[in-house]
Amino acid sequence: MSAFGKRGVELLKEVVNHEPDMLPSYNEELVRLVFSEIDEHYVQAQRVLSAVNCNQQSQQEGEEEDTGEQAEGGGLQDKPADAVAMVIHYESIARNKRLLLSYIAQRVERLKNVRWQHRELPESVAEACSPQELEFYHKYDQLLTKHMSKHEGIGHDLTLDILPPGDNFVAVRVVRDAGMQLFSSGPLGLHEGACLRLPADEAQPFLISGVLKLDNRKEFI
Amino acid sequence: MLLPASRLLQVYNAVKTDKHSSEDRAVLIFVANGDVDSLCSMVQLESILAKDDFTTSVIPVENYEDVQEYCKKENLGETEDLKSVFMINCGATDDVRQHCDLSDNVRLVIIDSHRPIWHGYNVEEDQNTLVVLDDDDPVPRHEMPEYTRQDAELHLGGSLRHRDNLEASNSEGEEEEEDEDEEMTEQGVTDQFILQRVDPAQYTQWRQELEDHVAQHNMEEEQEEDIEQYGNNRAKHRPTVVRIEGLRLAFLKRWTLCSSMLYNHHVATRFQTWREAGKKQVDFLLSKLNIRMEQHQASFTSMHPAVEPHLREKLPQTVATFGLNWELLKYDGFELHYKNDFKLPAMDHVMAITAMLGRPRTPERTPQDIFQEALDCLYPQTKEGMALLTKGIERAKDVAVQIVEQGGLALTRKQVQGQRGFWYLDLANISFTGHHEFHHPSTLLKLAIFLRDANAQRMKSTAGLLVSNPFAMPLLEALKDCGATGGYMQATFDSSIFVIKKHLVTAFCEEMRAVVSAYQTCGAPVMD
Repeated sequence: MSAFGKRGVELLKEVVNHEPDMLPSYNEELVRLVFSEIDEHYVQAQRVLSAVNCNQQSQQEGEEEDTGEQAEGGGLQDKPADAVAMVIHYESIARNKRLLLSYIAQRVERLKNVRWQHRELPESVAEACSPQELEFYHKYDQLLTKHMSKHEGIGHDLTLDILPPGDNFVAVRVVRDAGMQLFSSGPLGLHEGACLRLPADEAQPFLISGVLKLDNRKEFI
Repeated sequence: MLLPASRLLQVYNAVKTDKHSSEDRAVLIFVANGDVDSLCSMVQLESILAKDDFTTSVIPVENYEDVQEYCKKENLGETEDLKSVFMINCGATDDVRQHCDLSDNVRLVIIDSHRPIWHGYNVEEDQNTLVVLDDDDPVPRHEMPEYTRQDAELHLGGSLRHRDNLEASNSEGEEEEEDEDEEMTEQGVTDQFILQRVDPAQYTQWRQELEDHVAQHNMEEEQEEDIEQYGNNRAKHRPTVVRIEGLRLAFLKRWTLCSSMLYNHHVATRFQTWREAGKKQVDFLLSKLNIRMEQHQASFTSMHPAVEPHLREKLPQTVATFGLNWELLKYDGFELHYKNDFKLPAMDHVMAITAMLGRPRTPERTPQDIFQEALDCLYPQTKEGMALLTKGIERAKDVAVQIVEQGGLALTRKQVQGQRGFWYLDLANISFTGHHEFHHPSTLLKLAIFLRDANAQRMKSTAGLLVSNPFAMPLLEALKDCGATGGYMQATFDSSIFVIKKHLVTAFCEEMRAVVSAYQTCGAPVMD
């Protein structure tokens, strides 16, 4: 038997240590190994339990023959070593289960972020998903689209402005030329190297497309 | 028209009114990409405009061609909406409106320290081109020539001074000052002082005005901290500006005491520290101060903590016996404090940012990149800002060493030639390490100041103070006469670099000598 819960920890570390915006490939092999570890713990626990039951039964039968009365004892309370083994197996199963759930939750959370930030599933992320995760993404996408649609939902694209702005304006820098663009304040040239102060909602699409980047000084302006 | 600083608030209110009556509400700010003063002024203006929810666009520009190109891109020649354009440290020395073919709907507000102001701005009728002129400007309004339509001659010339009026605008227009306002103003003023664009008396006056602002602001900050003491106490993690009386030894806290002395402008020109004798003189001075070699050659952080106070106490009496001027070695100014261990005198901060701005422009490192990085250096509280500032400090040290070593060598080899009033150095004759790094006007200006002072010291004469440059037009004429104008290389708002072919250098120098001789005889430059 492998070290208790070690594979589950490895699995979780794999996703947590990965770049925050990306998704590592679904590690099917390691997930299978964690499941087999759970099965192994279950089998071991069953074995301990049946040995204890057997022992208890034979002890009771022996005592009944000697005294002619129904005997008690011979259970887990009289065998602390077996009781500890049972607890360890049970806790290992529970721990592995928690680790697996955390692994899946982390991946699902990242998939949801992909939908909010990129609006569509990039090829590289799709390749890293399991079939179930892909199914989840498509259903989540459908639900969110429906929620934001004009006819069935609120009629507003929530993914345009993910973070509530501290200020109505943001300080940004132009990193790629985008020529003249029309803003609520009038036409403005987005020429490389310029520092702009724009309404947050109007800057957001350009931030997503990489024309603008947030200015580090924004909190000091 | 020329606008007194007292009316700046009125202009600002007009810009605000324009915002409500125009379809084009964004304010355009052109900022000269060459000095710290411009950067600080721009940050202050941006901060003022931010309070009124202006959409702003800041464009770093290197010369008038950049301004012209951008105006063309923005189609400012044909705009039908009212548009406000601020020009920081650029625009005053030339007719920008005509140069960029701007529409009458564009309101130009020029806040520029470069002088002389193009005399065409001295007309009351032009309400759309406003050049802000401080009340204590060294070239006051009454000394400016009146503009006549026949008068189309351009006045070109060297730079002179000075600070802009943003501080005045800020104190009058906005009750609440941001934390960084004092920081930016003191850096702007220090920049003018270090580059000798203002005389010490003017600097002292502005510094004293600033001291009051700093003291008042720090008092408010302390009160705020008292209120916050039961909260998260964030005030301590803001950079603060503190008044200091220290030593004008660059990067003392980030170098060795010995290096700071060797490459200090005053010490280097007086002791000739590029020579062995000069270096020994510095060693002797330090030994007179009872500072042992292992102390003054160790980095400041490794130096015994008692050495610095000892130096400050004993240096004033000792320097006089070595022929040094204490007034030129002491520094009354400001220091930036952040958290518990970050302390940076304004002088060092300005030198580091100037060094960053003076890096060569290449296709990989565009002027805009340099501007952005220099701007980040103003914020050492950010990770990127701190990294870039450290880089700037190292480069500034390198520049200081190269100027003293290579400039001194040029003097020793008698490569600085000429006569009283006109000295020249052929840069082709000196070999800076990584020489392409030293071709920016700001670095060459430092080299020129060093050579001027060191040469004056060698000649036992007083270094001339550049009050105005009467030789700009004659220089152009001389270049033209020699047929050397084809090699024009780079221009900024206060300087131009011309590359002259080697075989034309002698003829050009002879021509300039003749002009200077005529000037010294007649009191005015004589041109053909």
